[in-house]
Amino acid sequence: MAQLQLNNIVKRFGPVEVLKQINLHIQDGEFVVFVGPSGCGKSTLLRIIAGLETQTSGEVRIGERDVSDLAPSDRGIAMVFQSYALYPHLSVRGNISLGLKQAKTPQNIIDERVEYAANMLALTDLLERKPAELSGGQRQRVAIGRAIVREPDVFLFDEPLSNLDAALRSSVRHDLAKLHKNLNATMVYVTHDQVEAMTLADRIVVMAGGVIQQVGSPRELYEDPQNRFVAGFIGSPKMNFVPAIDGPNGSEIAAEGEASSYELGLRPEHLSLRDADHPEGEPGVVQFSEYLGSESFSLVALDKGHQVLVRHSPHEIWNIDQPVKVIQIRDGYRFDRDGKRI
Amino acid sequence: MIDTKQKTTLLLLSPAIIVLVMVILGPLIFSLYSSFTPFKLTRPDSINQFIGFRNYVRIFGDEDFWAAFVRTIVVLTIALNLEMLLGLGLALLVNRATMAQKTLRTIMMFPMMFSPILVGFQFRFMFNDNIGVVNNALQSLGITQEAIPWLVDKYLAIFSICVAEIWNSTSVFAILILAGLMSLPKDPLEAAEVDGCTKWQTFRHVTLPYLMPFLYIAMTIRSLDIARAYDIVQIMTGGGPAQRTELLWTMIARTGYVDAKMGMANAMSYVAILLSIFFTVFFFRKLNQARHQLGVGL
Repeated sequence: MAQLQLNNIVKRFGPVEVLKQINLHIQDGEFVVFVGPSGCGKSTLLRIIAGLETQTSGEVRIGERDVSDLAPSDRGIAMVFQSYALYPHLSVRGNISLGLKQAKTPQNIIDERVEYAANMLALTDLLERKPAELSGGQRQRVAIGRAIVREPDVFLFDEPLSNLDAALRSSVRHDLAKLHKNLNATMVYVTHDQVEAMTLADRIVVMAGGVIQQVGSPRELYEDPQNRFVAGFIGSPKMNFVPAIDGPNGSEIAAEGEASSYELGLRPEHLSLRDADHPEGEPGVVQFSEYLGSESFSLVALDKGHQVLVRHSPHEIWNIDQPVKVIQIRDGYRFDRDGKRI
Repeated sequence: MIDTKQKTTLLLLSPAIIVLVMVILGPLIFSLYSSFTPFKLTRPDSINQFIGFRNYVRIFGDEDFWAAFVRTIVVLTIALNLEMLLGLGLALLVNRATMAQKTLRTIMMFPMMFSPILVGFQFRFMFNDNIGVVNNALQSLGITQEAIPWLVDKYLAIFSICVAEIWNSTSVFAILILAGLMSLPKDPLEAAEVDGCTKWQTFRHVTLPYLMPFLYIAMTIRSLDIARAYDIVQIMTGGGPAQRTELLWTMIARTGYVDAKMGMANAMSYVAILLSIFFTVFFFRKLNQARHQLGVGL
């Protein structure tokens, strides 16, 4: 186990700079998740840590070592791929142990570690099977087993759950959380799925355009986003953004086309709906309502020209085209023209 | 019994059915039937004389036929394996080329652009014991003083035919394997890199399993090609001298067209086709196994 340090990592593909001065310090035993839209550079960054991609400049340190120029197998990392990437004609045992055999590990230690990993991942009965005979979830567990037996300093996961169906995804996700607890290993995990990021991470790194937007615990990112991108990216459904000005009673939504001094970010749960004759609130008309069982969402077209999504109790029933008032039950976030939080 | 709709269907399908019956089913049945007669082109009425399995019985007792049968399998085995190895090597090299890969691919295909007949002529000329460039080169280099009888000696003639076949068709393997290399998934290669596999292990555990389906497709195509080999052999040696290079189809053609024993030739053809069917079924089984191992198809 070891800490991981990224110092001034820059990556250019030809004239395109996909990573701009990335600095990040990951603690020993920490579970860090990189999230961001596709093309934000999160996978490239992971591959640079793995050594599968070479950084244009900058330094990767694992533990006390500068591993920037080492081959992937010498860095003390193990990687789990989205497509499992198993060796098709080797048995589960062969798949898990190939890396160790390659490193000339004594046979009794190989057996011991394979046993240990198979136990932890419930693969013991499958050891002699070939990958083609396994389900997607089982294959991914084999890929994780292959990583465990290497006893790496850092585990790297590249969207490991993306090829699994929804039900399996949550169960493998729980397995991963348990694994992290048991091994207490440093783990870096790339995903575009917020739920995975929020549930697994000690800290989340939000990336966009090759730049780290914010680093923080899931709660920090949700409750205290530093810019408009993070505010919009974390949370589902997305935060509403409306132009606003300061009024006598705090922020007031500006009508479309009217001058505004900043943008107001309001999460759906910061808003609530009232009948049209309510004395306060912004008047609007319900566009549609989504009933999700434990909660409902309604999209309201405000008379001022903007649309906002409002979360409410599933027992409240709002009809399409019904005039309503939208009230704010919590302060929103303010962002300046550059998207910075104010 | 047959309603109007079915009648219309039949009527509309009839041109296709008639053509198929005339060009495929008819000749097939006729040739099968004629293999049970002593049909000779010079005596057309012999077609009416039914002799049961006598042709087949004679084939099974015919040493020359079995010699040709075995020779065909030998040529097929040698050519197929060497073509696979050379094709694999070529494809791996071309795949590694960082510059002018498209040009190299095109150059690699050159031998396939020549008719096998011309390839046969060219190699007959090159392997000629008096004026051939091969002997000339060997003698000029002082490797031998003799005129090696490339196309006369029993083993050398088969070898020379194999060389011509391999030169002509290695690119079939190369191009299919290259297609396989280009569609190779990246993740398993990188997983092998992380596992610290050597180049050979990566090839053995990742590249090769993913190439197997392509190899088997190439094998199927080429096994059919070689099992029906006629042109190159006919031009280079004509099956001779003294039937030393007789393969199945040169023998069948001689029996049918030179000796005019069409009934017998047809019987031989049906036995020869069994060989091709055997190889096709064999390689398709292997193909399915390889695909199954990769978790695609069944």
